Amino acid sequence: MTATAVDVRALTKTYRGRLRSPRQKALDGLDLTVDSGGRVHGFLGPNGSGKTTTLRALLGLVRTDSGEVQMFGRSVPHELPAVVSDVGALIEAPQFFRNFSGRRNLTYLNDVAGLPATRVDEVLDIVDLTDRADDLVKGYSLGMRQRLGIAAALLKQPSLLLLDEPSNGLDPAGIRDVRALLRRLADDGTTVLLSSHLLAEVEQVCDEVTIVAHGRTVTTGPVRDVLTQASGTGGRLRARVPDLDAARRTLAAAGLTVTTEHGQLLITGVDDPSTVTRVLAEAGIYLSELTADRVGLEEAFLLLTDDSEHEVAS
Amino acid sequence: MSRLLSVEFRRFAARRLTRWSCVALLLGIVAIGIGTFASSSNDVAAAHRHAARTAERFTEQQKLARQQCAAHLPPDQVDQSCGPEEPPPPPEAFFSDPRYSFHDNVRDLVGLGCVIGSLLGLILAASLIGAEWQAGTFASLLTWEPRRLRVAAAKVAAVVVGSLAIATVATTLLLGAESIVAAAHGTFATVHTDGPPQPHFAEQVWAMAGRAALVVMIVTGLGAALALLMRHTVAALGVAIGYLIVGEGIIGGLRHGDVRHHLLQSRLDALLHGRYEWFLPTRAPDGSIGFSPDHMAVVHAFEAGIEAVVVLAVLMAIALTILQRRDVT
Repeated sequence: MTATAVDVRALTKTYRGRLRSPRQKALDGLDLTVDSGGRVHGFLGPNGSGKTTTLRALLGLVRTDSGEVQMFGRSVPHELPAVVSDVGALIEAPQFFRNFSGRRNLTYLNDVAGLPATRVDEVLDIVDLTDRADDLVKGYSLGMRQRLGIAAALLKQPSLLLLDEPSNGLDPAGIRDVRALLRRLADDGTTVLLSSHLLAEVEQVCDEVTIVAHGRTVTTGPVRDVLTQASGTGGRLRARVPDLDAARRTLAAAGLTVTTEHGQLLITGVDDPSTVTRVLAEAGIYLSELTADRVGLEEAFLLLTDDSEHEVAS
Repeated sequence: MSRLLSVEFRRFAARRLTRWSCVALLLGIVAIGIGTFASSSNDVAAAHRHAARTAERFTEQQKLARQQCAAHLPPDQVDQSCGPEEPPPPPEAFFSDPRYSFHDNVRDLVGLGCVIGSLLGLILAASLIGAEWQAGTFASLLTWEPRRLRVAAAKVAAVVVGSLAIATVATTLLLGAESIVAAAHGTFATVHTDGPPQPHFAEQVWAMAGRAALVVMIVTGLGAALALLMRHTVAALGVAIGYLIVGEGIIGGLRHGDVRHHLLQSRLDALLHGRYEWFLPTRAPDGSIGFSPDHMAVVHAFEAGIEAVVVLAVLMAIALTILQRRDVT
């Protein structure tokens, strides 16, 4: 097995418009690399940015116009049959036969893959659906269907899990359970590609993240690096000092960008925090507090996707 | 592929539409059996007596009518105005054998089984495949088996074989029910001549049953191909029924002689019954168009079967090609 679970290069896809509606460019040279080996990779982007189309392309459901798609080093869709047994997927709302029970739905999928019958009970237990497994799916709530979808994705004990908004319809406890499940799966060696709108979820559970907008990759990398990138070049520090004006003048004179906010100094463009302590100490100003001011993923997402929007507009 | 087939067969059998169709067929067979039993009898002597009484009544009515007609006419004009005096008709002219003849009905029973099996196959195929597209489960399945042609082939095979099995069992039960009626209230021989069955009659019936099976498979296959193309149950059924009933009705009506033998219904009819005949229009010297038994066209089962299979193959090839190329959303 190669070290790269997913490798997407310069992927383009345009949907034909129906009748008089225009053609829609869903992917415009998108790149995505997901390393294998127990990682959770977040896949973020605004609505219509091409996330679901990318996941569908990975599963061979949509035919792309150009670009390369590989999973575990195998070209998709031509060599997809060779790796599909290692890939579990939940794309958008999970679809099941409404007039069959949850167990029967899972049994059919289980039998298509030739898996042992006991696997159905195992995954039902994992998603806490054992008690309702014999009820018809049409009687399930949205959250129960979502859990059944996750159970179906887990049936194959996949090395790669593609999840598109897995927390849709789940209550807070369900969302927490899914988060814990994803972390547990990753710790057991499963690679998870998680497309989600819940930025807090992604921030808490993901090791890496790729942000896309307008069918293109805006940024990708470890979550911390992406946050740093969104904060601007270098770090951003928040300082509390006895004399705000004197400290601001001193730091500005040293070439740093300083603003005041809520009685604190906000210093940007600092590569090394010791620069701040040294400059202020030399001026006889002593810090009461110096903290790194982190940009949250939500802010980073908005900053980066806004930038991308402006680039497209210009 | 065998796993996929097994799953599709089980799903076909577990569907509510399949099960309710089987129940409806069973009830229909029972109703036909009861109806045939109630309308038949072994009492041939009573039927002869009834025929004799009817013949007597008819003769009396005929005489009375002639007397009334002749009452106000001179004797030399009676024959001319009231017609010549007819001899009384024999009682046999009014005799209808009350016994149920299995021999005389077996072809119609096989034909009925074929028509019902074909309609059922069309509906089951359009529903099995169309409903999957609508529900999105087709796409889900492709995340387990991405070879689209295999998935489609398994579904088509399941619905064709399943529908054929239902049609075969239903026809067998229908023949069984009518055999019971024949044993209790009739005969297995023909009642037209009371003689032995025609030579090769059994072979002819078996051949017809084989052709009926082919018709069921073709029509079910057409339903499956349309559902793969339209991705919607109602759309597939609408196109099928719209073409067969409205489209072919209009085409056949407008171009009676030229194209009728090319219409799918004519082909399937010829395939089922062994041959299909129809009158060709002839133009009289005065310009009027008429139909005469001297000008008939015939389509035989073999050529009809070939043409129907070609139609199915072309439609299925188009459906599978589009399935292979189009996005599954």
